[in-house]
Amino acid sequence: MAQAQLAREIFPDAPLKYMPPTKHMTGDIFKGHLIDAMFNLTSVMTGQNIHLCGMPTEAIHTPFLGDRALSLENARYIMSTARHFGDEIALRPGGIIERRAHDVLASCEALLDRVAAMGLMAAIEAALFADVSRAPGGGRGFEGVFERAADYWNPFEERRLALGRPG
Amino acid sequence: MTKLVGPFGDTRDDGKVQLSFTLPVDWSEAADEAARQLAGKMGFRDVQVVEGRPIASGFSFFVIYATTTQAVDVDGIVAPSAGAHAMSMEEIDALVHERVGRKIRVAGACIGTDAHTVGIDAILNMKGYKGDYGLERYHEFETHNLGSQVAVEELVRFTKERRIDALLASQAVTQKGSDITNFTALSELLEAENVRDNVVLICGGPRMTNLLAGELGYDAGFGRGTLPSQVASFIAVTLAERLRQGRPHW
Repeated sequence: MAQAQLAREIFPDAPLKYMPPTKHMTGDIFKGHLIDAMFNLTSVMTGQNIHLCGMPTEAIHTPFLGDRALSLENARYIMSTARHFGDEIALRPGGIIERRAHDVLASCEALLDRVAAMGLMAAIEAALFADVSRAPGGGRGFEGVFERAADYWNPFEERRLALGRPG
Repeated sequence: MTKLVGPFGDTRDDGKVQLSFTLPVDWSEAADEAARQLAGKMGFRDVQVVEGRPIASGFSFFVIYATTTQAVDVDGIVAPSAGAHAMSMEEIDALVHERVGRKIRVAGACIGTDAHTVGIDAILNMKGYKGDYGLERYHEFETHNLGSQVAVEELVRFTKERRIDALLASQAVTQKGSDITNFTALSELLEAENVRDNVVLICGGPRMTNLLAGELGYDAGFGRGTLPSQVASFIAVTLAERLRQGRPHW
């Protein structure tokens, strides 16, 4: 809740995408469905624009069709019934949610300072992001990465740049 | 003595189960009946389709309560746990120091395409799991956590290069049995490279059991709720025993 609200307040006009953490999922799909409902509520209360639905069985196998349907029904139910619930709630100044948001913001700033100091590639290698390390000279799919030849030419990229839109 | 047990709904031996599934048909009264008959063919009695509804064009979802007449003899079932003789971190370190005489080299990774490192991290990371320190914290273990989506070939190459004593392969999420394929690929490649006997080979994941691990050619398998010290003591005891027997090693 604190993190979702924090993102909403810092980027009031951005189309935010909210992805509930899957680490709480166990083999107990019933509890998982309940947790997903609470993430759905958090998302709609904090005005997220794009919501990645959690699903029963996602920590077990690639979810079945029925699991996906249950997940969508869960989201539809909460996002429509609680659509304006968040408008009725004011967070207590100096309360746990607000303090947590400040902590997250402060550690984010510290992280960005570290990344700026060491450089992005070095930061990725040092597992600064999500504790996952990816070496510049390795990683999955590295065998499919090639250096551009001197006569490399991509006609589509020229057109795209001419349009002046970011990729 | 046999002790037959069956599912318990609200009365002993009532055999009540719940199940749910999807059928690739549009919903109708007939679809409910189809679901009921299907559950009957599975061997269930008193089948009640308590919920049946369309979930998409051409698909219906059902929730069913039914009765089974089946029961199993729980006393006749053996599922040996690899974590049965867990010791404390201090005891394990002492055992390694005394009986192995050097640090045990451990490598762990999520193999295949799996990016879910929660399980392997709980076992390897310093902070551990449920107040039980991870292998990185052990003085007598030299631990390498290779992370996620590690190709089986790369893991074997690393194992040979660093002469790894204990190899931990983890997989959490599976698609149509891909975890079994990957686990098997690892044990077979180690065999093919003639280094299988040099490593204590361990697999882990929320659906893993020690029985299944044995079938896959592993020395042990650890499932949900496993503590790092259970894995550590298995590694320490197994390796110490192999050295005592004078079995070939790196």
